[in-house]
Amino acid sequence: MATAPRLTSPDKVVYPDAEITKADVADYYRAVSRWMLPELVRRPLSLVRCPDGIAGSCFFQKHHADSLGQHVGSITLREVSGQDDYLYVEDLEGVLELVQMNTLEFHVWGSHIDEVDQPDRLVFDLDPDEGIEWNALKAAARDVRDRLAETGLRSWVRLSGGKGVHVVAPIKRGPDWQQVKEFCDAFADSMVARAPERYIATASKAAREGLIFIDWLRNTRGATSVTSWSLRARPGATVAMPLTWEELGRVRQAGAFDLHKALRRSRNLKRDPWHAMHRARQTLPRDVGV
Amino acid sequence: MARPIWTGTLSFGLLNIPVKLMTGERRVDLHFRMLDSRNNAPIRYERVNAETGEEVPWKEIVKAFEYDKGSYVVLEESDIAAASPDHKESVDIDTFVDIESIGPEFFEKPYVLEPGKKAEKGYVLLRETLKRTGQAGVGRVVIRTREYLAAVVPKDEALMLLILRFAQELVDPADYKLPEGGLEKWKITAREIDMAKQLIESMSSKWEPEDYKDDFRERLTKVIEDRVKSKNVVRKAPTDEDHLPENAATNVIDFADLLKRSLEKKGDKGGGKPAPAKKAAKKAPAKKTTTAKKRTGRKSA
Repeated sequence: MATAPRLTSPDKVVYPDAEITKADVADYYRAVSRWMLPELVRRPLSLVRCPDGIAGSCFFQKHHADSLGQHVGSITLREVSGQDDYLYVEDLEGVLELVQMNTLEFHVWGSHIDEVDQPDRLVFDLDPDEGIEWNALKAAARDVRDRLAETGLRSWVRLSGGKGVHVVAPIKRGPDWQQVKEFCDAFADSMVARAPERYIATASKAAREGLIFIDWLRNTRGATSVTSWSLRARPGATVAMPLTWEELGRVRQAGAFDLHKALRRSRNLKRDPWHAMHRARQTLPRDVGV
Repeated sequence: MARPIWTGTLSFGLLNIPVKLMTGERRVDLHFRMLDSRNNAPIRYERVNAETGEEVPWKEIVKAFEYDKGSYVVLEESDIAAASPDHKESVDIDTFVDIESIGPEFFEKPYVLEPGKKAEKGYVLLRETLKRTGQAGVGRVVIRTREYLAAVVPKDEALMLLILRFAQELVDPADYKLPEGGLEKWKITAREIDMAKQLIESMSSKWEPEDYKDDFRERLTKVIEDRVKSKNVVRKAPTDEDHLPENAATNVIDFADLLKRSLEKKGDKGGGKPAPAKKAAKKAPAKKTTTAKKRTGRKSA
């Protein structure tokens, strides 16, 4: 690559437990870019940066800074009060510049920079309380999928690389954040109404004992979800991994893929497990056809 | 007495003999159940959807042929029926052959034909004629939706029906590495032949199949009996009616109805509020106050 950005201190150990260096991280993102970029590019982006590796302190960054690199784009967005510059990337160069700035995790908005106020997908993050069995979490993901299908939305699944599973449904642009938020709030509420012994839709830690939190709050303006193929800043260098629903049946935990397994998968993968998502043309249900 | 597999006819030329097809085998294998060693619960097989992991009821299962990896052609019941034999419950003899001309490798599975009502005379006629001529009737028989090649041979008072393998099911021994050539090529002397013959003669006896038993099965049966006596057994647990699946009654609520009601409720609260709702606001400060690793974990776990 002619314009490969400079990588300083390539031998710096980023994941001490897994003995993964900064150069390994850059190589990883270069290797998986084919699969990762379609979701990542041209969405406002938040980063988790760990200048001293995951053993040191990491921080969350959502605002643009010129120091990030020349391939890292900037977009001015309004905030609750005032406005600020957000960042996005368009290509692998941008990703590698962010890696040079010690970025490990990439989290994206539910909309593109071209139409920031028209979300183009819904994300439900299923976050299990301690003690929830993996099979119960998988069943919950399928439940969300099936209920979404009842409203006319096809959805795709991703391992978060942490504890949870994401169910993602693309929608045709049009509805604003308020409408999307209301739908997702109502959807999560309905899931809870149907099975209060399994789900909860409020973030309150105390009430969550033994339940799966259906986190619909990512479907609000400014909220982000980790993007597919992003490394996680946690021990073991796990990866957020998109799967087919069939593959989900064979996976044993949300952190099933680490950097090495993800690389292997990237090499052997014939087709994006979410390839059909890019062709899906489905609209946010307004009236839920009853 | 055992029930017939079917009651039909044995036919050759224009003659029909009513017969009952009876099994000729006794299965004596010991059957084992599999248990989970941790709590001795029986292992159960499930037909599950590879994608959802959910159990699939029999009525939803169709047969498909994988013509290419991952590509299937689904066969309808009618497709299979169309390829199935149309004649049913009969042995149709095409030809009679010298019984010696059927090699032992062709015989697969024995059945017994029993004469149908008032069919004894025809049955005996065929049986005795086959005995006198040393011949076997070869033809086709349908057993449970499939058609097989079979030979009808006399055996004492019975007409046996022996399922034959199709030639295409047999491996040609010539596919293996076998020593060619006769005695001269391998330099075997007359003396060696005599010695071998003598040895075989000294070991010759009458074929008494009852003399041979499945020793392994008997020893195993003994082991099982001893185990049962020593009380090292897993007894049937009392069934607990209270332990119905948790979701037994929850599926009755119509989801779309719930969602609609919930949407209406949210709508009533007024749509003009700024995006971050109360719950969202509550979550945000938590991110700022916790340590870095925890924070990133909660962000998108």
